[in-house]
Order: sequence, then C-alpha cells, then structure tokens
Amino acid sequence: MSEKLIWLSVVVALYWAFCLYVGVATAAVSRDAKSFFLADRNLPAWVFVLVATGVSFSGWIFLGHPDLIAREGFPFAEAALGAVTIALAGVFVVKRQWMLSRRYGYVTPAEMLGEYFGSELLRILVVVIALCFAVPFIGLQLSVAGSIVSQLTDGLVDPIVAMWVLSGVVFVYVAFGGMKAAAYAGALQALLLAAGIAGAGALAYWKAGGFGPFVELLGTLQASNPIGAVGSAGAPMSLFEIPGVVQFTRGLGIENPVGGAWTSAMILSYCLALMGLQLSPAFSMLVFSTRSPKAFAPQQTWAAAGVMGGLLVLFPVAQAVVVSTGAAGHPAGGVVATLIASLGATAPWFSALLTVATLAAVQGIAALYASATSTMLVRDLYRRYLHPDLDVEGQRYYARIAMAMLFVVTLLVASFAPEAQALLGGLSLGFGAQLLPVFAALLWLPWITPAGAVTGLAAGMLAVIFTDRYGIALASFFGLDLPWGRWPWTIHSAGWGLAANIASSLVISLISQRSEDRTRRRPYHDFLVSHAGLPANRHTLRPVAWAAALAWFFFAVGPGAMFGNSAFGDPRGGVNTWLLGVPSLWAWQVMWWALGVLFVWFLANRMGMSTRPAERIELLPRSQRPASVASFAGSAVARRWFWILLAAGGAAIFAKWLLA
Amino acid sequence: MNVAAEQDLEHRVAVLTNWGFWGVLGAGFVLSGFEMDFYFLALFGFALLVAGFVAHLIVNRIYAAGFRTGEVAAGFGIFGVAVLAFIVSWLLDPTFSDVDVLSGITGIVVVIGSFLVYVATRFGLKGSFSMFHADRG
Repeated sequence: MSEKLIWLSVVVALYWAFCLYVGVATAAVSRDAKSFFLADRNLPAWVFVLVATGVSFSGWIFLGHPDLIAREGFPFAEAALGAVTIALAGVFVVKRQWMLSRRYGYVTPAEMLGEYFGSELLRILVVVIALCFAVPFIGLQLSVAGSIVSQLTDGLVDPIVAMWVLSGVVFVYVAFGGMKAAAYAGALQALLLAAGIAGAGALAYWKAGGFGPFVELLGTLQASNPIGAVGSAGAPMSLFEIPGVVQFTRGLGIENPVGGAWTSAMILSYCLALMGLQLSPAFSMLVFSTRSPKAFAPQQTWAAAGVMGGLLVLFPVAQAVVVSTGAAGHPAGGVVATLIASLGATAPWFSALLTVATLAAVQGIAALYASATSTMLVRDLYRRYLHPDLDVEGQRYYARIAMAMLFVVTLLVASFAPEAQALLGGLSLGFGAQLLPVFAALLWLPWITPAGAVTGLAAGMLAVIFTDRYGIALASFFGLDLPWGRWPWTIHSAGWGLAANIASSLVISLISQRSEDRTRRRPYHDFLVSHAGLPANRHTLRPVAWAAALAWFFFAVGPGAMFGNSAFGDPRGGVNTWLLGVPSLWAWQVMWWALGVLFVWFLANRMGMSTRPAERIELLPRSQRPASVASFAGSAVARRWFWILLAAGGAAIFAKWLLA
Repeated sequence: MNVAAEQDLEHRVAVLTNWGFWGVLGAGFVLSGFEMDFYFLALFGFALLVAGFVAHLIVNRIYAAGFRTGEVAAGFGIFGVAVLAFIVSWLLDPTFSDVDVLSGITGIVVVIGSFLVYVATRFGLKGSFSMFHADRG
C-alpha cells in the first residue's frame, strides 16, 4: 500500500470515527423525539455559525465553482459574489422565521407556511421543494465525491461503492443522533470545507510559482486564451469580459449567446438562485434548532459573506487557471480532483486532507438535508395525512425509516440514472429560490394572500422546470419541441421562476383579498413588528439601506458589473495595462465583495435585521394559535388519495423504464 | 433534557472540532517540513498547534471547564510518542538532516514553552512549581 493510501485511510478513518462518535454521543443525551428533530432547539451559537456556513456552500461550491470558471471563463468568477447574496438571503429571513418558530412552536417550515396561509397545498409544495432539493442535490455531490475517492485510491475503490459507503456513514450517525448529530459533526465539516478551499487555492498559487507569476500567467492567457475558449454556449469567449448585459437568444442548445452565456443577467439570476441555499426547508430547520439569534449576524456578515466570500473571490480562479493551462499536470476529472492528483507522492498528508475536506463538504450537507427532509416527510405528509394520532416516539421511528428510504432513492438515482440526476439537479437551486416570495409574504408583506402565494409558487416552479433541461426533456418525451432552449435570454431558470412567481403572486393577491384571511395573518405581523421592527431612532437609515441595496445589486451582480470589464484597465491589453496589476474584472469583484461584506454588516447589525429581538419570546399556548382551517388531512379520503397517487407515480416510473 | 450532560457534550465536541482542524493542519505542516527539509514550514506547523492549544483554552473558558484527565493523558501521550520518534529518527535514520534536528528541537521547545506559560498564568509561578514539587514535610 502506498504512503498516499495509508495517509488517506488514516485521516478518513479518524474523520469518520469523529462523525460516529458524535452520532452515538448525541443519541445518549437526547432521548426524545424533540431532541431528534430539532436538537432541543438548543444548538449553540458557534455550531450554527459553522454549520450554516458549511451547508450554504458545501461541495457544490467547493467542487463546482472552479470547474465552472474553467469551463465558462472569467465572467463566471463574478458568481463568487453569490457569497454575499447567500448572506443577504439569511439577513432577510433567518431571524424572523426563528422568532415565529419560537412563538408558535413550529418544527418544520412546511408547518409554519401551511398554518400561516391556512393552505394544505402550500404545505405539500414546500415538502416537494425539500425533496427536489435533497435528492438530486445530495446525489450529485455524493457521486462526485465517490469519483474523487475512487480516483485517489487509484481505482482501488469503485466510485459507486465509495458513494454508498459515504452515504452509509452519514445515515448511521444521523439516524442515531438526528439534527443534533448532523449539526455537531457539521461544525468540523465546515472548517474542513474552508480549509479545503484555501488549501486547494494555495496549492494552485504554489503550482503557478506564486501570486506574481500567476498574474503573468493570466497576462499570457490573453494571447492563447485556453481557459473557457469554448464555454457551455459553444461560442468563443473573451477571457476577462462579461459578454453583455443580456442577450436575447432562444436559449442554450438552440441559439448560443455570442461570447458566452454569463452575461450580467445570467450572473444576477444565478446569484438569486444561490439565495435558495438559505431559503431551503432544511436550512429553516437548522434555524429553528438554534438556541439564540446572537449567532445570525456573525454567521451572515463574517462567516458567509466575509470568510467564504473572500475565499471564493481569491482561490477558485487560481485553481481553474492553473488546471486549465496544464500547470497542475494532466487533467484528471474536475479541477479540485486534478489538483489533489497533482500532489502525487510529494505531500500525502495534504492530499489526504483535501480529500477529507471534499468528503466533509458533501457529507455535511447530506446529513442536514437527510435529517430535515425525513422529518418533513413524517410530520408534514405521513402524520398529517395518514396517521394523525402518531405519537412523538413513533415520529422518530418513521423519520429513521424515511431517512433510509431517502438515501436509497438518492443513491439508486445517482448510481443507475445519472442523467436523470443531472436533469433534476438543475432544478434544485431554482426551486429553492422560489421560496423567496413566500417567505417575503410570511415575514414582511401581509397583503400577499394564500391564493397569491400558492399560485406564485406553482407558477415559479413550472417556469423553473420549463426553462431548464428537465422541462425541455420532459416536453420532448411527450413529443413537444419547445421553441426555446435552456436559460433563454441568458437568464437562469431561477430568474424565470422568480419572475413568474412574483408576477403571479402580485396579480392573484390583488384580486383575492379577503378580510377574514387578513385577520388570520395579522397576529403574525403584529408580533414581528413589535419584537423585530426597526427602532424609531433608526428609521432614517431606511432610505440608506434601500439605496445601498440597489447600488450593490446593480454594480456587483447586475447590469453595472459591465463597468468592471474595463474600470481598472484594458481587459485585452495584458498585464501592463492593468492598473492594479490584475485583470479589471477581478479587481472589480474584490472591491464589490468588500463592499458587500460592509452592506451585510449594515443590514444585519445597524438595521437590526439579524440582532436579538427586543423582548424575550414566549411560546404561545396552543389555544391562542390560529385555528386550523378545515382540511381533508388525516381523513379516509386523504389516505385513499395517497395510495392512488403512489400507485400512479410507481406506474409512471415503470412505464418510463419500459419505454427506455 | 439533562443540561449538565448537554453542556458536557457541547464542550467535548468543541474540543474535538478544535483539534480536528488545528491539529490536523499543524501536524501536516510539521510533517511536510520534515519531509522537505523546510524549517519554516515545520515552524508554521508548530505555530498552528500552539494556536490549537490556545483555542482549546478559550473553549475551556467559555464552558467554564478544565482539561479532562483523558485530554491530559492524550496530550502527554502524543507528545511523548512524538519526542521518542524524533530521538529514534535522529539516532537511527541516516537521512535525518540538520534542518530536521533543528525543526524537532524547536518544536519540543515551543510545546514545552507553551505548556509552561499556560501553567504559570493559570496557577501562578509558585502554584506551578508546587504542582511538580513533592511535599516531603
């Protein structure tokens, strides 16, 4: 066995021993179901700061971001500012939904949204979003991690076997300890993720000979332009320029944008899609589990926007360029995998560390999503519609079964239907982002009606589906060739979804106002205003906040990002014309990242959007909560419909398998 | 919920998380320093290990707890094995260079120095001395 394999085995064994220890130890201290689902609502602040940051970025960013820079070119690097938009999503929703969960005792976001709007359909749609987020998102990341393990063990471990083993470890410790185990293990996983991004980036700069030679390498790229020479759009790209504000093309695969797909419109809509990571139902459950809101502002300002934003602005670019130019040797899979492989036998411990960082990044998010999604399946579907008198211990038992099923389905799809997984994976971020208007209604805008919210969510999800590969493939399956391709007008499917969602919500809300509905929702908003409203002495800051928001979105990730092409030098002129010694677009990103951190700090702290509420929050007695709306939940009709739908779904999958 | 048990678990996880990060990075850089005969790389690794020790003290302070017996035993055990490995390598390994020797001695001095600074600030000079001084009276 080579030294590299010995190091890898030892480090992975230690890491997994830690995860299993956490699972067993948390199971020992948490003997009831409340502990299993929401960690007794007692996660310490430092755990929330680390875990929330880890799951917001995860293997998706660690592995995917450098790969996309290598494929799409420098304009995609602007998406590193998504770290700021992710933090902004948190500023917007985290504190207020934590307050509602404390006030009304909510366990899942589906329960919260369903009860607020008095809508069963909305509750089900939120569970659907949780599932669509969990299955492909976890599957995609696990399959990449499995491939990396296989590659680094020189094929000794089959990628599919590696993927199943990775999932098995996660299942064991989360099935033991539930949310608490997922969160406690997630703390170390988040640190390893950050170390992995920094480590792979430092390795890339070292391979290039240091920062100075790296910049010279960028200069020489002007002539040869190997990076992103052919982007996903299939057209030649300019290396250091965003190719326009928007291009009115019919979409990838049908009419490719000139100069690449990553226009300002695409960057903006992609950054909005990334906000979905903090709007996902699993993230809400992590928020509900947190002991105190004092963790929120530091997580958003310093951990997400500050540290992770800084890492993403500075390191993945180097990784992508070094691998694309061959400075890290022969490409072996993705960018990070190539960098790890390039270490060879020179630093086996470092190779093992980077591998474990990859596994931790993937397992951290898998654990949280598995824990949260299984809880929602049991509480919001099984107990709600099929078994209303299920006690809390029964819920924990069924949650473990649901978790096992979730992993099996995810792994089967990842193992035997990777194309379906890729298609579904494209929807995850877009679906998550669709919760933005619903959360806006719940937390800020009382005039959005249940009909508006449900119609908006459904319209948004449909728009996401039919402007991405999945919907196009689905239409084609039914013999319908859509006249547009993926991401028409160089707008990400999440952007199309949000546009449809917001427009539908507004229009339907305008025509469906009912005073009794509004009376039902008023206590929520009265409570939020009284406990989390802006103090009177800070009302003057409101226009400043709006102006800063508009300016940041416009210049950092919106149309104004075009100014970044040449603000600090000629993008095509080479090193000597770059005023700050680096390409203008990169300097622009660094500047707007720093301003973004300042902006997040301003909103989170000065505007009080993530600070502790003015008063202690007491749990409202059940009798004072809004009465449940009449529903068919738990009835014989619901049970019948459940089995009919299950049978129909099974028949559809069987038919698809037969036809394939 | 048992508050004391919960608090104890939080403390344990915080300590493990701390060393899972600083310890792995520090040990890795130290080993790379030895492997590549690069003194400052090894020194950086020792600095990370000291940072881990300081972070452990902060964690203990936050949870109003001291070092557990197991932690002390693990610390001394790992240090003892490392020193033994260093001496054996120095005596028996012909490829062990002067830089490796310097790195190892620096590391031993840094670790012992950090420990002494800790006990001196935690228990005072007199108290620290009394910890090791056998009372014969």
